[in-house]
Amino acid sequence: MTDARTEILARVRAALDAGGAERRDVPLPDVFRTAERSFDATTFIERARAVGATVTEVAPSEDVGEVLRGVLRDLGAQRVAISDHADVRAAVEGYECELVEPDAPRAELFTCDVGVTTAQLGIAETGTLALRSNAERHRLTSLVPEVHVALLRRDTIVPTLDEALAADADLPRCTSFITGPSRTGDIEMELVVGVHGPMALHIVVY
Amino acid sequence: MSMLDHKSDPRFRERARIALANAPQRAAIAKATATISERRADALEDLPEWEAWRERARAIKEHVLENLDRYLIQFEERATERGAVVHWARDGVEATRIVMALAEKAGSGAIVKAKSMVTEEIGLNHALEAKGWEPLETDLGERIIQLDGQMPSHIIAPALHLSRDDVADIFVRELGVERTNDPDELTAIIRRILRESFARASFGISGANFAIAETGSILLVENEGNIRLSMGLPKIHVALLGIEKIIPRQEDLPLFLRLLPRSATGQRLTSYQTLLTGVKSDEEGPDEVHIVLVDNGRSALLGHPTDRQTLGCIRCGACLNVCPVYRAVGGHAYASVYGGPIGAILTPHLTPEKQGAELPFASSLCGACRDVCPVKIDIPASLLRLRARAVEEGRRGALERYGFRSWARAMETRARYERATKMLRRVQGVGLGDGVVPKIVQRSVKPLGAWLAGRAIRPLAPRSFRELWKDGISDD
Repeated sequence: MTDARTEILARVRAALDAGGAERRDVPLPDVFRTAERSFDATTFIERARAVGATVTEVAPSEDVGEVLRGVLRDLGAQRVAISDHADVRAAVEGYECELVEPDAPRAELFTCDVGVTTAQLGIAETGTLALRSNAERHRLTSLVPEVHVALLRRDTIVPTLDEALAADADLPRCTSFITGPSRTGDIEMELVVGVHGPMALHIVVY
Repeated sequence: MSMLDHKSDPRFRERARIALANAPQRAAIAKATATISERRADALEDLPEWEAWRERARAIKEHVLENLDRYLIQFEERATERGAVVHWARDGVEATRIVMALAEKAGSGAIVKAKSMVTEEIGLNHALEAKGWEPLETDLGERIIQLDGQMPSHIIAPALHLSRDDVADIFVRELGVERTNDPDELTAIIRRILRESFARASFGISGANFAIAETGSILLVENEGNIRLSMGLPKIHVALLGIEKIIPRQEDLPLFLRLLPRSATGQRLTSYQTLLTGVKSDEEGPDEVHIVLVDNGRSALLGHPTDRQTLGCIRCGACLNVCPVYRAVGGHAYASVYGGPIGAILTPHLTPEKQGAELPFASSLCGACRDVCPVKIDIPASLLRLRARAVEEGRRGALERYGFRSWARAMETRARYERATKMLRRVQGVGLGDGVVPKIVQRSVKPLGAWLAGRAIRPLAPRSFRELWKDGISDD
């Protein structure tokens, strides 16, 4: 008996051969890039808000840590999970709470009310954050706690998905694209925010 | 257990009749499909590039399918290089066996499952349950129908046919919770219960929306976050995907990500897309990632261009929402995990049984499906091809054959046509009268009776135009 791989590939080839003349005559089209060029940080903020994210902008005169701690205070955060990014640790420094470290047992994450991470990119076209696993341990910190707070540097905002998904020599094992809080419409198409992922998303742009 | 619902009546007409008699369900389906269609239309406003996107996506899919062997090998090679384990499954039984071996390896702990059409197609849950495993569907809609033992009725909204009161009933009965029909509260109940399972998950099962040949990556699209949890928490993650899911380059993703959510839910982008590439021990994630490439009848569609285009489907569900047949009868009338127009052209290929072969006839050929398809699948062309095949295979009744033969003969020459109309004029007085076909006539031409029951037939005029013309038309 042949193995599954051999047999499936043989079936595919046999079927394509039976197709005859038209086989393999469609060339690979060029990569499609949108002609839209007007998206910027303002678009990012507007579109992130439109899908239910809360966006706080840090003014040049302000300190990002202070703004973040203000967000945590407003949320009443008491158990805060942090990723292993130096900016995150520095920003939460001085905020009174139980801090859950990135290497804490997984069960700890399920009892956190906030997870703080950075994001590697912002995508203006869709108001989306991109979190790359080779930059930071934030795959679960951004997902399991009730609220996700993300720090995003203004100069990492790219116009469109095209830039965010350009060919990449150093691919992380996981890139999480995040647009607003988790949501569903599974019951009568009625929008419910906060299903399995975070109930809310706060983005601090600095 | 196959992708067909064998418990229901084997005849589409009968299933449709039952569905049409279910007024609350019809209301739920009508409301939901109208809502999604409106949202889609809103999302497409002011998008001058939409047609160009569709055309490019179609061309990419066509190219990939014509070269699928090469792309599958490339995908396998790249995924393996990066530490994922790639498996191949000729059919559902083989895919199930692979998943079971992994479940065994993952050991005790919860099995959390993301929504995946291919796992529905191969009946994975039933197979796992038969061996004592308890796979938990974690998508809200999917969990609702799993609790009630139903099949999904829509590709992206599996519980679309249920009202909030239906969901409330199911939760009271199956979960023993206090009754509420508030969608927020119902969702919160499932969140609370499933978080306990996520916390002790050892094995995660998912599908995938796209597989990227150039990088060996897979991409998953969702709104709820349950897919991220199912792939991020367990020790072992397995993703099952049909062999047609491949796209060539990572740079092709933006195009498909612009098409899919807008078509599926009218969103510019869904809440989450997760792009996974292999395994790296120094980056967060499961210890093992397995990818199962499932054929299950797909390769046979590659042999003919009309069949092949079916494999370009990105499972957005837009064709279901606009289909006048689907909107009236809902997904369960198709008795297949794939309902609606795409189901009607996919199911017959994947199941040799008669139950599937009948589905291409459940269409008015209006073409609304073709107009909304984000990858421009010519669904009516496929419907006609499958209808022709069903006729050639002798699956249609002798009466239909006799009827169309007689029709063809009568239309062949003028003399025959005139003889036929003369005869019809003579007999119609008995049957038609004011145009409403009496019950007794309906019964005597039984197979046509169902068609006649809902229609008033306009009787033939006493004299034809030609006859009037010959006698000087102004007289009359």
